[in-house]
Amino acid sequence: MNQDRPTLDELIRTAREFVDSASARLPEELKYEAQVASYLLAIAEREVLYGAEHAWQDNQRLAAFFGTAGSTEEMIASLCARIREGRCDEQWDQTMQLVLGLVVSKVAIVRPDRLHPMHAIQGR
Amino acid sequence: MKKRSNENQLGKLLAGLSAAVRRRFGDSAKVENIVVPTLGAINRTIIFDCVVGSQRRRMVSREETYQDICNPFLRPARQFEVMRIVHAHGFPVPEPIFMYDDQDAMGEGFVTEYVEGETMPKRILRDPAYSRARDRFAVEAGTLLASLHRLDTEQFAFLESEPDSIDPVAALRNRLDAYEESHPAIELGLRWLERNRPKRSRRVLVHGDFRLGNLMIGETSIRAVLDWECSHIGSGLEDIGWLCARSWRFGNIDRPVGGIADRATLYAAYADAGGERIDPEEARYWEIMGLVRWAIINVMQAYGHVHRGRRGVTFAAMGRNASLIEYELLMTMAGHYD
Repeated sequence: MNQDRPTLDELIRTAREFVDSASARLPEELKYEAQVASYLLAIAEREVLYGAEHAWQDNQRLAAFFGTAGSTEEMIASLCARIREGRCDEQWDQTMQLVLGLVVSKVAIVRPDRLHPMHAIQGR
Repeated sequence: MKKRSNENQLGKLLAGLSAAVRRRFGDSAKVENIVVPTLGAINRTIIFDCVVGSQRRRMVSREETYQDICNPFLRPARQFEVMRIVHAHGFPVPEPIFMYDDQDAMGEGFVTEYVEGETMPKRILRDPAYSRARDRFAVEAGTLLASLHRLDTEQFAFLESEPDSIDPVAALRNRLDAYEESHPAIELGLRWLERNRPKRSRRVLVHGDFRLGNLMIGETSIRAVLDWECSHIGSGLEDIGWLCARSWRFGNIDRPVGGIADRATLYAAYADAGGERIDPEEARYWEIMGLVRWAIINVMQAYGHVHRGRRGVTFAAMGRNASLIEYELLMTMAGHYD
């Protein structure tokens, strides 16, 4: 597809900047929801910029854990079943590490400032 | 168009409320000074003065609008009954006044007394006006919970059939399944809760959502405990754990008790008021349960937004916020977070 500027992340950022500036002039009961709308747009912007990178890393992590290739969705469903059935009990620490990695991926998109320094992502 | 239909809806609601009030207090009874707060979107709430002759009393009407197969909340009739019994024992809860019935055509709900005060955590935590209330908070909370947990559970036998009364871990697991989204972190939490169950303790009435946001705070004290829709029978430490869970510290992560105080003060007050001596390891179990539960609630709200027409920016945000709670859960389980 051949698209003109602004890029997708720039479109989202433009909408977010508008919401942020307009929210000061909104009635009190709408200000909170405007802040939440801005938050959603910031998540979308980060997902556009960094989502593919995280998706690839997640898939690699899961493939390493299972020792086979597959779709992330299938591997996560399989992981959930394994944990619930107790089949990860004997490799608890390893499973915790895998799942923590997957959750850090999600948090990096949703609200990176909530990551502990041990998980902070350089250069963002 | 939407604005007009909202106004029509409100008009109908107020007409229904006025009729319900007249049915119980006489034809001359009137409804005045109406306030419809917009936060807390699961139920329809109306605050109003009920005027009968020269008597004026401020009341709150709550109607349930959540109609789903996997509703984790108590039906209004049961909430009302819990509040009625608890109020009769002198516990600080808004006095339940009447339940709506079919003739009212107001859905399922009830009217209670309105208790003046503040519920917003941000204000309670920061406003100098509440500094005295903050100083006393942990002691008051411990004392209140101890008194709640001392009530004879025979009176609440109707709650024994609630899923949370039968097995709180299974209840969480079943609810998560209803939302059809894979969450390995929550699975780890559930597995841990399953394998580390505390020894069976005395069964008490558990409020189930005792935290800032559900407490009506006055300038010097907790005036009333609100929102009994999560009450059930179980371990008293479930209430203690929920109050101290990281999610309910509102940014003050080094102050476990509601973002205000330390655990030792809460535990001491609980024991002094006749509650059990709290084992910190056991309390930790219930704090972790709190994180698992709050994560699932967030998944539920996003499910409602995407699949059940309960739309809202806040519900959408909660769906993504589940990952933040999962992070806190795993970091707590791993011992990095307290």
